[in-house]
Amino acid sequence: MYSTLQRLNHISSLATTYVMILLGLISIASFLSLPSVDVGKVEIKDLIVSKGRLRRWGARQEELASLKFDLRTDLNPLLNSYNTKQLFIYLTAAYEVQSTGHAHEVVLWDRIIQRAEIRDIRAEVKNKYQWRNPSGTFKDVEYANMTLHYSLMPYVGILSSGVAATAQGPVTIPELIKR
Amino acid sequence: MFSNEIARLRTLGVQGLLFQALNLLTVISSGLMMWKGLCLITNSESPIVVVLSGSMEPAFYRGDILFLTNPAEVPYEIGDITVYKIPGADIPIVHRVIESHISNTTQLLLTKGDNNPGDDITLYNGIEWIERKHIIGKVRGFLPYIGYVTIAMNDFPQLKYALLGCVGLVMLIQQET
Repeated sequence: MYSTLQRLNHISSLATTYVMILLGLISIASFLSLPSVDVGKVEIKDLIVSKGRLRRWGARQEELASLKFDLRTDLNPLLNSYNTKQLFIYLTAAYEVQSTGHAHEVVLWDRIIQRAEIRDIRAEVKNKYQWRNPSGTFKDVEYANMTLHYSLMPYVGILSSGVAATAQGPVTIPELIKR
Repeated sequence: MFSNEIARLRTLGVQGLLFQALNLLTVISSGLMMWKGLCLITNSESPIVVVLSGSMEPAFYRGDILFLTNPAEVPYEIGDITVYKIPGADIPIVHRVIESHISNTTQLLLTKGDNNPGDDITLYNGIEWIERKHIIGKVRGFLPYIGYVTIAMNDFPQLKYALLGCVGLVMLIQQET
């Protein structure tokens, strides 16, 4: 009546369907039960604008901003969530050029945190990427908003993201330092 | 071994054989319709992609499957993981947006792989920024390992033809129950 091949075919298709349904349920459940994060603190220190070049062949001289910052945030709830494979945290600066009204946003620092790694994140670090303005100058930029975001990568399912820490108010961009 | 099957083919006759072929075509076309429907809903030319490089490790490995959306009205944000394709390059790249510069008319983006030391400007084939037109979609969902099948098929084309041949043969021979 039924051949071995038919039985095998039937079992494997049934198994695939059920595994897919299970994975779907897991991704929806973990997305809905995602814990909220207490927004931590970023403290910006030693923000300097000076002339420099990007580390790139043929880069022209332009104004580059560099900074140090203190970071204090607790991402425990996210890392303890069962469907968290890794967190990617990144510090962004959002600013507007007054004369043109163009909105800019750049990543200054980032870090991959895997599930087994340190939990309470306290760091005193410098910017990892050079901060430049496409126009080559920060003259028209008055202030920037600094935010630490997280991006959560699950074992399976929906990716999510949010804010992990913010700086107290906007940070004023200082005058160019001449050397 | 095949005497049974050959006998079955005989009893099917030309009409039965054509009917089975029609069945096969229905399966193929419904698959194609589902794919194109998904393209329309997500507004992306390729809503499901397989990761081909290790530049986003340890989040995405080779062979993982990503689900994309590309809503027309929503601008890309910094931190979004995008899949983009540079004209002239044949493989789409999965990388994160690290710079966004919005002017009145355009949004200029710079991307970087989480696992790469530097940004992607060397991958851009001479253009300085990527724009919306280069982007296929933003990564929304993740399914590990499954896509390795397609990588295996690309690496060993014989496997692909063997699989296609088997499926076709089974569809032709199988009995309706």
